Amino acid sequence: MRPADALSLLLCSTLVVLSFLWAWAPAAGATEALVHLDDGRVLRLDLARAGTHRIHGPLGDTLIEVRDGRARISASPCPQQRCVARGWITEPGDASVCLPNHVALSIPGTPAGFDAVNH
Amino acid sequence: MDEAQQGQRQRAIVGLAALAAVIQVLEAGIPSPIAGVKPGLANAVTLLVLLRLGPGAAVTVALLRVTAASLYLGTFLSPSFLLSLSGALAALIVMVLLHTLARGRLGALGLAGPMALAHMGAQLLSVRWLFDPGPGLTLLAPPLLSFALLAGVATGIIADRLLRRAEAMVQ
Repeated sequence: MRPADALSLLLCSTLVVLSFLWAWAPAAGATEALVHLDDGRVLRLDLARAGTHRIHGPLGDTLIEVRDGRARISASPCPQQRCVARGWITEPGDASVCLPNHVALSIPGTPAGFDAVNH
Repeated sequence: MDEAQQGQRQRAIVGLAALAAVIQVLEAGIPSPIAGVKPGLANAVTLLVLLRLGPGAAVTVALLRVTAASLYLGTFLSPSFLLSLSGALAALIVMVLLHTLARGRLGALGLAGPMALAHMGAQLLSVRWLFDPGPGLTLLAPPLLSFALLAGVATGIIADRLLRRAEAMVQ
C-alpha cells in the first residue's frame, strides 16, 4: 500500500462516518401544534408546555391536551368521537380533526413518509 | 503498436470482460442477507485492466461486463440493469478521474475504496429517483456505504494480488 492509497482509504472512511452523522442525526421534532377555529383564527400551542385547552364550538367544548411534546383531543361533545379515537399526534403533518364541532388540531410541517406502501 | 500487439490487446480486453461478466453472474446467484449488498468482485477485473491496459480498456471491459451479465441474467434494460449501469458508470468516472489526477500514484487499493463508494452512492440515488423517495433510504445509506467500503477494500486487495502475479508472470 502506497501513501496515496492510505490517504484515499482514510478519506473514504471519513466520508462513510460523515454519512452516518448526516443521515442518522435526530430529526428536529415538532415544537408546536395549531388549532384551527371556526372563525378562521389559529391558536398556536407550544408542545413543550403541558396543559389542557378548552375550545368552544357549535356543539359545546372540545378539550385539547398537550403533554410530553404531543397533543390530542381528549374530550369532545361530538357523536362519533373520531377525533378522540385519533389519539396523540406527534409528527409534522399529523392532524386530529373534529368536523361536527369545527375544531382542527394539527402539527405544521411536511409529512415525512408514505401513508401506505403496496407491492 | 503493430497489428499483432493490437490483436493481442483486443483479445485480452474481450477475455477479461467475459471473465468479469462471469464473476458478476455468479455473484448474482449468491443470496444476500440485505438487499443491495454484494461483494462487487467484478470491479477487481476493471481495476486490473485499468492498471495494466489503461483507462480506455477499463471502460470497455466494465461496460461490456454490465451488458453481457444483464443479457445472461435476463435483466437487460430492466430497472435492475439501470441500477447496475449507473453504479458501474459512476465507479468508472471516479476511477478514471482519480487515476488521471493522481498520475498513477494511486494503486488498486486506493482506487477501489472511492470506486465502491461511487458505485453504491450512484445506485442509492438511482433507487431514490426510480422507486422510493421516502426517508427509509436515507437511513439505509450509511450502513450500505460501510458495506460498500469494506467490499471495496477486499476488491482492492484482490486486484492488488492479481497485479503482482501478472507482473511476476511477465518478468
